[in-house]
Amino acid sequence: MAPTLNPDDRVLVQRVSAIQDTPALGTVVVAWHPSQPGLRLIKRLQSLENNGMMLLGDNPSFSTDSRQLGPIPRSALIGIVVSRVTPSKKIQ
Amino acid sequence: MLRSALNAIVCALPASVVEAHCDGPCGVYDPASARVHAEAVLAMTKKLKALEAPAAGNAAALATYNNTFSRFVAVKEDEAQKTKKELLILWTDYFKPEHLATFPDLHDTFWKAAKLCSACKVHIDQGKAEELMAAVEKIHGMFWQSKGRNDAWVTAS
Repeated sequence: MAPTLNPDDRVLVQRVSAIQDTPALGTVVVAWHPSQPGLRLIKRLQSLENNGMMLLGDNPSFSTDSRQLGPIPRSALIGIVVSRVTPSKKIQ
Repeated sequence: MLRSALNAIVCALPASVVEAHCDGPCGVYDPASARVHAEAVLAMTKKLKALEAPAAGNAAALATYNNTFSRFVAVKEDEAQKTKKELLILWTDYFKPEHLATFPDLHDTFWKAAKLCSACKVHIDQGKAEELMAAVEKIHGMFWQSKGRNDAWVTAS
């Protein structure tokens, strides 16, 4: 997710249960990996399709995302990233 | 002050880990792995070519020859398969569609390199083994160029 996020950054996540509406496109979200149980992905919501969310990394050359994984089911959404705690900087 | 205090509290709390890179958890790729195995293929091919058959009628020498020949073939087969595996990891995990803009012959290069691994198994062909080394060297160049580096091609033998 470079340059937005780097390894060991800490982020605050608002859980999906606390979200009233569908996340806005462009939001950084956390979701369960569709085929690797227990693995949480952090990606940017690119678009919403009938069969799920298209999630893309900000660093396309090195990201494995919906281009390979396909749409991620809406039910896999864990939450939206609201801010980075360390190092402190607003998530754009 | 408040922010640093908040940071200290947050950092002390347990937090779940999220992954931005989920194909290879380690994220470590290096064409050197393929190069080492390809070098072994070339070395075993040369050894097989240099192996001299014993004179007719010497059963003990024939047994030794057959044993050595078989072992050399087995190692060549194994190393060629390992070369192919390492190449496929680079091809399917490391390289992404975006790299095709820089390397339009990426798929063809890997496909031919993988085919050369097979050819080195099927035959005892030094030319094919040298072609495989050249293909791995080309991939070495593409890989490091994609990382903005220009690492030298160095072989062990």
